[in-house]
Amino acid sequence: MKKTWLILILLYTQIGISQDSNLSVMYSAQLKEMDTTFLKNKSEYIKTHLLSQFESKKEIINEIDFELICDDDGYYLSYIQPIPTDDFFKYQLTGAISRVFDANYILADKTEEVAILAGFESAVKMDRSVEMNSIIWEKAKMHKEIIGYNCQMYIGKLVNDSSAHKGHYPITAWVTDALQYSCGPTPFAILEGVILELENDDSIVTATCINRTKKSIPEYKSEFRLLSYPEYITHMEEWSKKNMPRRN
Amino acid sequence: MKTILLFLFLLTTYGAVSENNLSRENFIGNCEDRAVDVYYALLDGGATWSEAAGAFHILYTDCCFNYPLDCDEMPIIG
Repeated sequence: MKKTWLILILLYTQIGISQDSNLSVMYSAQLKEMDTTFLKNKSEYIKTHLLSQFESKKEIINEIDFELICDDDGYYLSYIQPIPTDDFFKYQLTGAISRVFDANYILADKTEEVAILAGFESAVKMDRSVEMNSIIWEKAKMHKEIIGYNCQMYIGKLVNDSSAHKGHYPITAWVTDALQYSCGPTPFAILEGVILELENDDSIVTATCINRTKKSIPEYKSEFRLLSYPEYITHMEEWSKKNMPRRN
Repeated sequence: MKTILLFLFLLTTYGAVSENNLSRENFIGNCEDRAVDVYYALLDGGATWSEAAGAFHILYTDCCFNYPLDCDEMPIIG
């Protein structure tokens, strides 16, 4: 009888442990100063407008908490939705998140080697799929510590410009192999380890805390039309040309 | 005499309404043009389409706040 009870207790604790077996990494993001060389030949109106919008995006992104859930087969990056105050805030939030991740959320399936970049309700309503191996990661010599974990530096370059938003690459990643997961806040987290920091010309995303979690990765439910990234580029270029002709 | 006065009244009223409509159309036109300029300025600076679309929508919404009857349909980008 005692044995049966012991087995039952053991099973119960095992279930408890397995429920907490996924990894949760919280991140904060910052926008870097905007490179304004492209504004040189633009009108005063555009310069003033874009610079003021950019300042408000910087403030918004500082307030957002991003969460990455990792399991053995994939990972999911999302953020805690702030309560929208008005349409202006909604569009600025979309702009800020898109500037860093080019997606409302990222859902990666490592077995299929495909990641989904979700579209935005208040912007381009299209989901995009990317091949996770369409990046080349080169190991660099540098190491640094992030929230107590020793991290190795890698530089990621796109195999070709149409595999993702080319403006976000090359990208620097700081990766720890101490957590026995392979994930990160990018559609291209195929390195052995967890990416605790990502940096490109526009932004820096840094891990703030790590926990075990019962949360699981949601299944992909297509809200919008799903295109591959090269198809998306072609579609948007053609759409813009047809519906929003450039004035000069 | 009354007919002439009525005719003149109608003529000036029509003129005023037409002028008002014209300026309103110009206003919306300029607004939309500016929104398109901002859309491309952002893309030229390396922004994503979603960021550019968001900026376009902000300006368009601003326009339509002033003249809601003229633009009840926000163009959906994509």
